[in-house]
Amino acid sequence: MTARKRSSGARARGRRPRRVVPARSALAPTGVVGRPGLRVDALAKVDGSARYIDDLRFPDLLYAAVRTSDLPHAEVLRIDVTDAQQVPGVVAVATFRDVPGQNQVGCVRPDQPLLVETRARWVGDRIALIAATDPATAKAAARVVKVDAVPLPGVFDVEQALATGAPAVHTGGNLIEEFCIERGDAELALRQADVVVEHRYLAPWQEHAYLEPQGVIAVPERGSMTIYGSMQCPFYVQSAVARLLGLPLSRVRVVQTVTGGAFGGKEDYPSEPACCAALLAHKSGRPVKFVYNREQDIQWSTKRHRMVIQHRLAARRDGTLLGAEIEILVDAGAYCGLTGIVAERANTSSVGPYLVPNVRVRTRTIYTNNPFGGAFRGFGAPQVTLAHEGQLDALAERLGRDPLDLRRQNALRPYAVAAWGEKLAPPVEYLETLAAAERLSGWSALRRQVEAHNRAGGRTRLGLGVGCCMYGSCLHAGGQHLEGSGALLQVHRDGSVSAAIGLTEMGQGAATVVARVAAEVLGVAVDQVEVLPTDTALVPDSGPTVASRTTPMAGHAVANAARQLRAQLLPAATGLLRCRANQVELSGGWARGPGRKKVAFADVAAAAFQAKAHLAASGWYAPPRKQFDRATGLGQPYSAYAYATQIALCEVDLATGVARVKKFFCAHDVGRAIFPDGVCGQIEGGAVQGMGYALTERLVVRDGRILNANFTDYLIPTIEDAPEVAIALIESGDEGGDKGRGTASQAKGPFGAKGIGEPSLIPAPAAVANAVSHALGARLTELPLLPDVIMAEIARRNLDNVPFVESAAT
Amino acid sequence: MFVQSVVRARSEVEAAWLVYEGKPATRLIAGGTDLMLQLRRGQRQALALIDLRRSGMDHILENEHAICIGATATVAALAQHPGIRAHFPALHTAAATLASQQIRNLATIGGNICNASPAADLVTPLLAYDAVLRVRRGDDVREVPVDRFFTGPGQHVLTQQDLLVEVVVSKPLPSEGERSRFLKLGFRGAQVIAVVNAAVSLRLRRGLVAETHIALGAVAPTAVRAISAERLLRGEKLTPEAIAAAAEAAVDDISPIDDVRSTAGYRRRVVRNFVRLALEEIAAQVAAETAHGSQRSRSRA
Ligand SMILES: Cc1cc2nc3c(=O)[nH]c(=O)nc-3n(C[C@H](O)[C@H](O)[C@H](O)COP(=O)(O)OP(=O)(O)OC[C@H]3O[C@@H](n4cnc5c(N)ncnc54)[C@H](O)[C@@H]3O)c2cc1C
Repeated sequence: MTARKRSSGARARGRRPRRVVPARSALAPTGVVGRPGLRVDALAKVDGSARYIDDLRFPDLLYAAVRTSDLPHAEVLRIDVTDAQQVPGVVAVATFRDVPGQNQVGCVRPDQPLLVETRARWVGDRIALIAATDPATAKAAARVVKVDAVPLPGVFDVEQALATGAPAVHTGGNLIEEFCIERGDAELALRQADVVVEHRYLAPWQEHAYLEPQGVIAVPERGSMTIYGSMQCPFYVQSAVARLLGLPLSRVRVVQTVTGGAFGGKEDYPSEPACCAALLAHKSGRPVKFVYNREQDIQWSTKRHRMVIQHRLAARRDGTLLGAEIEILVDAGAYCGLTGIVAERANTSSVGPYLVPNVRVRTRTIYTNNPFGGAFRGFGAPQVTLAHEGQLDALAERLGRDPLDLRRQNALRPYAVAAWGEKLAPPVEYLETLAAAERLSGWSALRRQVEAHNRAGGRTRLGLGVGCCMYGSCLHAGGQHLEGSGALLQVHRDGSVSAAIGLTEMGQGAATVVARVAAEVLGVAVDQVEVLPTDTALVPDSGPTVASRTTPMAGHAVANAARQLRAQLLPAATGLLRCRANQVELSGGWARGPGRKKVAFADVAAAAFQAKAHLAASGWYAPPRKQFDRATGLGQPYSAYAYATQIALCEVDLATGVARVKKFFCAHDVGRAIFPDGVCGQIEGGAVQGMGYALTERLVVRDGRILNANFTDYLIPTIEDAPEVAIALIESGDEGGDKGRGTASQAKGPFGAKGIGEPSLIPAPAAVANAVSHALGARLTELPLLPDVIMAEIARRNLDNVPFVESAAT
Repeated sequence: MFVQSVVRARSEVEAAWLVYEGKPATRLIAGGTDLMLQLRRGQRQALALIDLRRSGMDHILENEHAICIGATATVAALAQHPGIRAHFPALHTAAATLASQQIRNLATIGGNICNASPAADLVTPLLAYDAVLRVRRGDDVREVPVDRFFTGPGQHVLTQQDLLVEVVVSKPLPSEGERSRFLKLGFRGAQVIAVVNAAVSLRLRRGLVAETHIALGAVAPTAVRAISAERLLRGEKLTPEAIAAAAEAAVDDISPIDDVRSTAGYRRRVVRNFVRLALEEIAAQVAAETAHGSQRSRSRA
């Protein structure tokens, strides 16, 4: 096991990670894996040549606009589009009556019509679609659609939604689903414990705020439809459009365009604009573009789910955890979407990386007339992590214990049984992340410094907070039917390589990882590998690009294809080098034989082509089946786990209540960093996005409508808000497996890599909330910790009645 | 309503006459960093725009008595001006921390004033320094003190035919010993509209407060002066007690509201703390200068 350190951020830019070369093993990479380098798409994005959806033009292109419901909950009696149709420049108008297939875009449950028939359930519900020759005309026409609607009472709070007599968002009531974990006897444990810590946590909505808003273009052609767009999951879009238009999947092709960020917000959601554009393209017979502006994007697209978490944690006086009882309410919004799957992960993750023998968790998903909950980096885990990490810090405080020490005492170790009853196969790197974060932050000295600062009084107070997580890598057992993942590799006769995958590059660096894995296995340079845009016509359905699964899944699929190609190239190489197959080594663009003999990879490719070798390969990877019982929440929910510890040093200004993160320390178990710069970029980005969630990002929602659907008032962090982020990477560097001790095997990615996209964010909000709570000496359990919230605590205890400036008092 | 035409004024005179003869639904545009957003959101309408950026009104002229700032001088230019930095530190700080570099390069002082946002960052310092605004109608120029310029959120005394041409801030005499501070509260590190801003100027004579202006933004329909706090301070020594009393009094001079950014109660608390903080900083500066001065005279002796 090796660790790398790297520190970066506004104040420490340009420092490179300290590299410790991993121990050689059978699987240790020899080429580009683990080396510094550029992203393969960096130049195109910097010089402006990358073409995003809004850069694309088609002949006869039309522009779409939508008429949405003015009311958060209403009975729609009549929709009259005659005036809209008469606006000059309008080419097509569509309502639910025009849908040739099913008027349905529900991703998991069929509860969401694309277009309102008789009932509007939130302000984003679509009533009519317009296609016109320019965007302004389309918008003007949308405004003159006449809608007769009777307002219905709405419900905007999960607790109220469950009360008897609450307005029902759907027939059948507002409770959608329940998940649970039942292990041991939590009730008894709570009764017999020396201490019970109980808090109610509120994790609010969060907007993805990707740089590029949602956008698609639908191009109709002889009974088929092609969709271009900014998205994470082309196969979801393909199914949605096929269902809406009543077409076989073979007639719907989806091509992902360069995607300017997604963070989960382009998982299920792009099916909606894609279906709108497709329906209008179908009706008009012309290509239709539908690109959101920022306000529309924030108002209509999905958000991180708002969750209310009641958490009771029982322990012995010596700090040993005995039991946990956790109630989670998840606000789905008006439709289910991915809520059930998010809730399933929240449910499983709610206890954290701790040994807790008695567990009772209940997670309920609930309809309201609020904004629509969906996938967002962490997928339900950041919310429950806020709670379990808040509880650990609260318990440490109660028992007068060091927070890191208390975590160490209760940490899951190899062969320990996790909350969901799984005996964990080694390696379990949680303790290593705790130790690395402790070293990185200079924990004990830093704590003493913080205490000294606070004793001295003055305008600011400092606080230190810890956040830890155990992230189930890739899809939950509940979604394992979607886990198979494909790749297509081709070696051209000049030795260059084309790679296509079924998952997507959305800014996270997938293309670079894919190019590196292909280059590593084939022994070529990274820039010899061209990664193609993801296209449903090229690669079989590979499931969604989510759950930090791209590096493990697409990585394996690419490695699998590359190994096949290697075998197909070997006869040519042995011919040229006059040696046996097992004597050939492919690396760095050369095929090497015994005794310093070598030929260029390009010559091998040319010879193989001459010999009529099949120089394309289709790779496929599916992790082993997992056993999981939904009724009890017990079993093996994930293929592998990634651990993380993050520590925040925060400062609170007593004059204003403004909290900011001064320093941030991250220790992550990544298995293997295939692209270390990319890994560090993900960690910095995830951490800062988590800080935004903790401190400044507040959606102001009234009667289901977002009042600050803009970047003036919805405040995401700027570079001025990004502190120094120090990083330690823990690389155990093998693909894992059963060591014959009765544990399920860990299925990691190629070269032992684990996903990092989400673990980078998950503990950050908790670490920040804990640090601010530490600074104030009061447990803050609701995010975001905006200055007015903090100030209320300051004012309550009159903490601001100190001299702000030293010498003024004298 | 969409903008159909844009006319670019090539001089102050041309701008003044274009405005004077302007058709209805004509608006002025300088940096456009307020107006473009408002047009896009439908908060303001215009059929025609008069573009002021090439009208040559972007001068910053300094003489013995005053600094005259042209209405289209950019916020970036203000932030870089050594005279403003030396004589009007609150205005300098407000300009240097407004939005972000990209916005500062476009945004103008005239736009900041004429947009008449109660949260505008340059306005509180201008109030603290008693700035005078020069307004032109055709060939007539009149002067309006900044504290009589604003009439409500987004509203001011200019008519459709008026053009703001220049902002004049008079320099204090060195003997007046003026000190000033600007404080801004936004909820993140940059690119943020103030939830509260404050500018305080203060003159001491023989250890007593001779004059002080305390201007507060985003806590009333327009930026306001904390008149009762100022009154309490005049003639007093800058003791912690006097400072605390003034800070409490300032809370009664404002009328904040709840909005998407924050709450009235929170703004009151911050105003109290900001007034105290600014005055404590000034007191500390005075104390440091006095200590430094007496040290110097001692070493000279
Ligand atoms: C991202 C962003 C961040 C911002 N941050 C801040 C901030 O931190 N602090 C702050 O105070 N503001 C901020 N603003 C608002 C804005 O940048 C400032 O108010 C700026 O000074 C406006 O100047 P402008 O030249 O762009 O005005 P414009 O938008 O061109 O004009 C504003 C208004 O003034 C009128 N006008 C302009 N010049 C004249 C004139 N000479 N005579 C008469 N009327 C005139 C226009 O007709 C218009 O109604 C921000 C804006 C953005 C977009």
